[in-house]
Amino acid sequence: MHIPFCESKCKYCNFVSGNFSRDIQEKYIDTLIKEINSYKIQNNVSTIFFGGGTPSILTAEDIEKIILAIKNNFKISKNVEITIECNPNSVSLEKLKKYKKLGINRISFGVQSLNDSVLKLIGRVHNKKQALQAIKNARLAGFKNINVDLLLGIKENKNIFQDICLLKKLGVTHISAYMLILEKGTPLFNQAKQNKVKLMSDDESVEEYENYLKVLKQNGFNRYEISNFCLKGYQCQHNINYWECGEYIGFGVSAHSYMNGVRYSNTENINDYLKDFNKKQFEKLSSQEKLEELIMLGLRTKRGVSLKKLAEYKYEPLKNKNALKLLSVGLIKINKTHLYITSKNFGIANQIILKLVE
Amino acid sequence: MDRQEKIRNFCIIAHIDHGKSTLADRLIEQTGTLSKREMSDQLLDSMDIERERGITIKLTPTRMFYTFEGEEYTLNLIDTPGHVDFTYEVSRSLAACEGAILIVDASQGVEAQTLANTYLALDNNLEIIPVINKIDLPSARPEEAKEEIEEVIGLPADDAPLISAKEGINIDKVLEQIIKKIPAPKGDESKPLKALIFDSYYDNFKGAISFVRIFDGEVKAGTKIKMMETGKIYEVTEVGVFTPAMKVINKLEAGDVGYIAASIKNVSDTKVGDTITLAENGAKEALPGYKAVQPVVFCGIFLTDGSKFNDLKDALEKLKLNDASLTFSPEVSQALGFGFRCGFLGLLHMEIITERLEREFNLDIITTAPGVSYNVYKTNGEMIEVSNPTNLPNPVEIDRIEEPMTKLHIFTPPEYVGAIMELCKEKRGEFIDMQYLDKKRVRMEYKMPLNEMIYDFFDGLKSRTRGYASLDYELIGFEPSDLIRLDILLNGEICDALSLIVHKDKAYQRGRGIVEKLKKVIPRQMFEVPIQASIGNKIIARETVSALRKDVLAKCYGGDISRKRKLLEKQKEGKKRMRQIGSIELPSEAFMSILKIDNDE
Repeated sequence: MHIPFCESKCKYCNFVSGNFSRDIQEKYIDTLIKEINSYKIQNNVSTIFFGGGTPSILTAEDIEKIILAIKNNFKISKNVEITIECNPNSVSLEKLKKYKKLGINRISFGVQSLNDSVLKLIGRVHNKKQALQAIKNARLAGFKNINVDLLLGIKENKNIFQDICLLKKLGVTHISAYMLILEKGTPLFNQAKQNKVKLMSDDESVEEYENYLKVLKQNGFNRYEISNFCLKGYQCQHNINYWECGEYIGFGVSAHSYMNGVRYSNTENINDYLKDFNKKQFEKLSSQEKLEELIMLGLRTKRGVSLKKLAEYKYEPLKNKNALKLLSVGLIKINKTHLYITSKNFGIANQIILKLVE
Repeated sequence: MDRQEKIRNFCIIAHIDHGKSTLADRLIEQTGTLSKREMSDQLLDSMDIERERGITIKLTPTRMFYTFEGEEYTLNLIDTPGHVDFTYEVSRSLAACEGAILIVDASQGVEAQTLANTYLALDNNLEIIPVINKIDLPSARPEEAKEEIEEVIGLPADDAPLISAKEGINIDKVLEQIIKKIPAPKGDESKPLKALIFDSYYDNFKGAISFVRIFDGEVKAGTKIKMMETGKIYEVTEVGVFTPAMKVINKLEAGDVGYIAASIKNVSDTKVGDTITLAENGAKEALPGYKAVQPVVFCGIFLTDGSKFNDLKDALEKLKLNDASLTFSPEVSQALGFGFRCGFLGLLHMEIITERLEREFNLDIITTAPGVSYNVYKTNGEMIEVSNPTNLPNPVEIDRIEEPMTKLHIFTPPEYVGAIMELCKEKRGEFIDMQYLDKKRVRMEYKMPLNEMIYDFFDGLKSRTRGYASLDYELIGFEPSDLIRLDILLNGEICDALSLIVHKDKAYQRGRGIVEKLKKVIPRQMFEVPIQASIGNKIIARETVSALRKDVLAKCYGGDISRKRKLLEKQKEGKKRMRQIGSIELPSEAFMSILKIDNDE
């Protein structure tokens, strides 16, 4: 569920999002519900994810309407995982309690950093104090599964250890840590181009990431995907589905879907979306492309890519020249069920994947 | 009046960019040969590559009609290729004419290439009409250009038309001088046929077609002809003229320019410079000046995808159909697999062929560094020609090696004389002569090994003289030289495709330069890669490409997947241009890049 509304746009963000009037927000929710209602298929839904943008900018009543629409059109699994992305300053304890009542059972906070000067530099509207309070509130509201997003590679963090310990103490169960990517056209990109801000070099970022890896491991956060870490039992089911090339339906402006080997994408223009939500582009994947995605996504996870699924595309690592070469030098490994990249080689995953799909 | 009195056969001599194609276009337009609507700009350049580079290798001949003082004249424009690689072809085109228009740029004056071709024209007894072009430019200095023509070439240029081919100014003056000054042909229609082949090309339906100038006699469909060089006999299927499209006519007679088709299977049977005569009771003597064309620059051509070897073979055979000067023979490289050693008239010729292989035949090719053919005299008295460094015999078996030498003519403004002398010295050049032609122009002559000349000399000359110097060269035979083979090792193994033959005194410098350059072009691999240069077993230079750095880690969820896959596909495409050498991936440019090492580095 893509909710494209934000209080203000962060300086590194190139998602389809922005500050829109309440009027537009209401129209958007109506359209979103129409789009949901347009699906006649009674698929079994095992995860729901409200992403953005800042979904928490909407009222709990808005969210309730959307969830109701989903329930009316789809069969929902018993153990459904429902996640909502929240900005630390846009959720009160009260709102979080309402979310809980709606059946939402996973909260994801865009914390990004626990350093106020970094938060200011990248244009976040919250500070460290608000972030910590929001996590506490989530716990108070009864949430047991809490993720925080961390953005690395901006300024050197000398308090990695303290930060991670604090987050764990507050009840965070899942951490997504990824490196800043300067996207063309964003304010931060332009500032960096003009040397107005000095960001960490790629080599420095990699080094910092490695420090995080150590501390996360020490604190029991298990790296189950290249940039995702969790305590035992708290993996994000929604994202695992992406990495296993499962099917999904995306609703809202710029949302993507994958069904029956076809990728659909909605328009990226909110006005176009409001006018006609059905204007989708689609791309039917060839079996070679499906295989490439299977490898590209599967190898991002610690578990790796399923040999059975590879075999469906006639890919047998032990008969593939490049795979054998990588196996022989220990960059990838194989067990009874999966082909995987050893954790210390995740840093060159792109090159390994490239070699395998060559 | 005699038929031939009304024919003028001429060509245009010009330096690159001085406006040859544009003037040709204006002449065609002014004579009404084609209407303005039919003209696409620079109509006569036929190959894409020519258009893109703005250079003209060869124009199509064109017949035009022009009425002057009440009489209608036939004007045949024959083109001369504008590059030093094709000097021989130029000389044959000139031999087909009675006159030449010499275009000189009003702001740039006489250039080396122009001068060389003007001398060739004078050797062929052509009447030369100087024309000053680009007079519309603010930097034009037509009077000085005229003086230069008189002083440098020794041609009177008093009444040279001042024109702008681009703006169409004074084109009628050029036409007037063509008719008044260029002599009419003086052939004899009653003698046996004598036709000079000045160009040829291969047509899928008609076979090899000869572009000819008829000197004596006549030819028509059904005539049995004989190629005097090869002795082969054919029956003419069609004769015609260039309008500029090919148009069939009844017969070609003395003085005419046209084409002859005779179901000839290969352009190597329609040799440029050969004379066509009658199969029976033909001419006793051929027209003078025939030379067999010899390639002077060689390189290996391989494929990134070795399985397409047959496609490469077919492509070269097709190009050869139309280009008798291209030679190729199969070659095997340990590093690059199966390919061909190809011979060219020069570097431009090589670039054109390789570009056409990539563009017209869609082949991803790898070319090894171009080199020359050496005469290697072995201690057992045997002499072998070696163009592939890998084939150089063991040093103990070599008595001596001789390398091809060139004589260079360089034209430059005086302020660059010092820089040129320095460059020539670096390239083992030997000073012969220097002449101050006028205040603005110096002519320098050097003797230089061809191998040095093809190795980055032209680029060096251009950059050190800011493009003001121009260059022409001729081959002057072989001389003994102290040459050795320089090998390059990747990860400890010799990569044969990177070996070079170099002069002993320059081996260290070249080896150093190459390993440094390779360090830059070889991407980091999953492990560390040493790059070494060696002579025999002695390592003379070493660099290391460090192991692959870790990537920046990005998230990847539902909306990112398409974009990620497309990125992956792009990287895959990039990888296709890589060549696996042992355990190392080498970009195909690496093989050529070793040739272009900036002297400042």
